[in-house]
Amino acid sequence: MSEILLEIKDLKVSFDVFGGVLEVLDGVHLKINKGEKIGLVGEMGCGKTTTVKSILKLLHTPPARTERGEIIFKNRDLLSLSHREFQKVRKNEISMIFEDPTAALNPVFTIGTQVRDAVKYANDAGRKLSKKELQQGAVAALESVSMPDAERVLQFYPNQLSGGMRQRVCISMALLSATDLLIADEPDTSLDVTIKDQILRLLNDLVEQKNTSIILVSHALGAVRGMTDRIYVMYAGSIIETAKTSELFKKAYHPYTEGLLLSTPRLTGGGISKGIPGRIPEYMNPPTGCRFHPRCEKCMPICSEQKPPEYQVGDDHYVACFLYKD
Amino acid sequence: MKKKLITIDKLQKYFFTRQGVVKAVDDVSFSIEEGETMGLVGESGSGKSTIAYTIVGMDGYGQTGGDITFKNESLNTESKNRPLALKKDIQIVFQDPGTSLNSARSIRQTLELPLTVHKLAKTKQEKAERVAELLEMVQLPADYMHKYPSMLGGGEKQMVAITRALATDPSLVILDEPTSALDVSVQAKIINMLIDFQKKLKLTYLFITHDLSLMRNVASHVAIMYLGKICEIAPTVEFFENPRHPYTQLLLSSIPVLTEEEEALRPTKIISEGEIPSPVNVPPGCSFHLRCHHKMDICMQLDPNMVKIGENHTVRCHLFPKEEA
Repeated sequence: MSEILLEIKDLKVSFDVFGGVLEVLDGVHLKINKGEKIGLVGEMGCGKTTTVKSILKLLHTPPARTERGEIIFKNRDLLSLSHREFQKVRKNEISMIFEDPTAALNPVFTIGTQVRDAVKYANDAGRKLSKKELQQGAVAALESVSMPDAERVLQFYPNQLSGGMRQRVCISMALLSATDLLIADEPDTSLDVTIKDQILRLLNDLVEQKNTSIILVSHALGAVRGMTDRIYVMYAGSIIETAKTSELFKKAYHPYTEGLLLSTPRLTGGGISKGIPGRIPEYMNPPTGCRFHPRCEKCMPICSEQKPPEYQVGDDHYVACFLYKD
Repeated sequence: MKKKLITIDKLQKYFFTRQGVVKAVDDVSFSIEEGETMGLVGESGSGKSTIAYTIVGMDGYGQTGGDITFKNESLNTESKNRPLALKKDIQIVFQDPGTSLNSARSIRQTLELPLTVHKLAKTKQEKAERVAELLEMVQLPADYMHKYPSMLGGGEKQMVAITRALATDPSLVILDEPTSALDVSVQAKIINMLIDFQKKLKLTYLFITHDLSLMRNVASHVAIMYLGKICEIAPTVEFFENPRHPYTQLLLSSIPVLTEEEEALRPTKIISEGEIPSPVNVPPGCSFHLRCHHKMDICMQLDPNMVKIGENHTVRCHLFPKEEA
């Protein structure tokens, strides 16, 4: 049995906004083993980013508020760590890549300044690094992501690089301080198909090399399928289905996952299903019971009354839906 | 034999910038038959949208060279110089409905504008009726006409944008990545609706997207663009069964898929290398040679010509010598 690296237990996060409370995360459970690659999939606004940002405490508080839940990382509850202790986690253990590399890099500093900063920050030698060491560290970081001509790139400003190159820079900086867990929040969304493929392959190679765990957040099932061991499907603030990647694509049980799979256009043709009616609910007044019930074609009376617990439907395959009660 | 609705012949659109000439569209030729859907696929910066804007004749998008013929009429001027009837016949739907709808106008005002401009409805009441009719067509409740774009979801906004395009009863609709800003479940709904409209209203589509899997399900013909030029054009089924251009093969092998049947359809894994060159500084010879796995000496010097390799299937690559034509 492999060792659990990070476990999110019953996490509930709300946002206090003008006019009320947005109940975004509604009891998220998530587990990631050491060296495991997991995918977190869901449509826009379903709480994927909120989940991963709360791991690194990147949500602005206020408005965000953690109402309950625990995030256990290496036997410590991240939510109760002091600011100081948490800095150590960010420095050496967990790191994150964001969706838009253009927004993640500061446009007025050179790539060199920014990468050297990351090297300085991740340094755990116990002493200050010299200028030369910083420069060497920065070059090595860029070379690790197969950046051609690394030394010259360090003198560039972000706008002189293409989207794919910028994302490589971001990955190199994140990897400096991600020895245990790397969170990749839609790292491929803003890139072109062929470049997307490059970046995902690079990430895959790097995490395998370093035996780092990765949480790959994405709205595209296809991208996640190629790279992960396990998939969590999220809808409106809770995990509705989780299974090994190969299992999930063999058979999806939750009506939402089914709908999502059917809606994705296939290369083999055959037309497109009619999609899922309706849209993601408002978080101000979310539907009672199962949050998917207003859009669900298989809705039963119980669905609007209670939130479904997770039922096991197969080998390591769990679904939060009353259809599978027995 | 179906009639050709629009023919584009050696279309060029250059932009003259301080850094140099950007050949956004360079010698592009294709035609679309009535009732067909031509899919235009390419990565960002390949000139897909420029072609669309040139066809609708947007300001500043008059072509540098080449001819566009629409229903036997020449479309060689910008929209402001075109007759009103011609403008009515060609409509466009943009990628991001958040910015293509005016946020200060209600849905009713947005949809009434084309009716007023093209004098399709005279009295206030006629207009209101037509707007309600249009909304019903895309399955939105009639009281949506009093709402503003900010009150609608992304999918609903795009429906309104599509309705606006259809309000003038056009024959050619250009869909510039209509669903790439939307979720797949919403995308499926919109695509199905578009296919329905095409049958009911006898529309011809120029469908622009970067999603090949979507194209497979929508288009009847596919054209692949790379840096302002077309690499390959073929009927959809032929295109996916028998992709010939190295770039097409690279694209097909790069897309993530969901099932094993789909995987079997893809060419064997081609490792994607290199970057898309900047359109200001296009490499000499074939613009794809820097990333190509079948590079030959000639590719670096000479830009290949379009070669016909099958019924309606043309490829622009030195791998296919002229003799086959």
